[in-house]
Amino acid sequence: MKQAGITLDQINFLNITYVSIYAALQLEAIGFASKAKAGKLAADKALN
Amino acid sequence: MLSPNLSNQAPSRCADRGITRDLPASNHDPWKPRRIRRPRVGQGYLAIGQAPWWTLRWWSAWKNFTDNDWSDVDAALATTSDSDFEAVQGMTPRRKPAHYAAYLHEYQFNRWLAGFALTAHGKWCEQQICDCSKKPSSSKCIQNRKWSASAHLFDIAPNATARRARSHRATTPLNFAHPLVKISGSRLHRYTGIA
Repeated sequence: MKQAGITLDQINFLNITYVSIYAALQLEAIGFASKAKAGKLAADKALN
Repeated sequence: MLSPNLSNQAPSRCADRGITRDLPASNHDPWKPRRIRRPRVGQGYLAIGQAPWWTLRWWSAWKNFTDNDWSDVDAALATTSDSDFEAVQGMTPRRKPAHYAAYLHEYQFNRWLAGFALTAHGKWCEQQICDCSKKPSSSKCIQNRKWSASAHLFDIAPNATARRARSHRATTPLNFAHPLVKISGSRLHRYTGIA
């Protein structure tokens, strides 16, 4: 995001792969979730 | 997450690769637990039928899959989890469980991870190509004892890809003349703005 010159607020669409631990790692690395809380996004149906 | 991903696709992939030539590619329906027995092998399990010879054959396939480091294992794993290889550059089959184990070790057992499997499976159930029409719910999974107590993961197919594979032939038009192309890997390209 730093290279692209955008911030988290400017992202309105994110395509991730659900099928492994990398979904959680990506969400946490990008900043959509705090550490160990990425799965909660899915559990709360915040992901579509 | 790794377990349901591999285990639900492994029967289809094994059949595709000729490991079990006389068995059809099949998968279990997570909503018919009484018809299926699922012995666990570590973090994994295979969906198998109740007939004894099915049990032996699938068990044998799984043992080969896990115990021997033969060359086709990497290829089979690569095709079962190709979506990760597309999304994560430098991903290898053996790094996947290692990263998962590290995540669990660092954050302890994370029960929220089940949300990914439930959401992904539910989204796939909305697809016409998928013949699994019933969306899972956490309460239904708990009722049918479809969770792994050790890691708080629900044992359901995260993306129902094995079902997609099974229904693939039926959804292909009869007059479809082009050969099917199987994408087994791809490279991650960085957008530079230059066409």
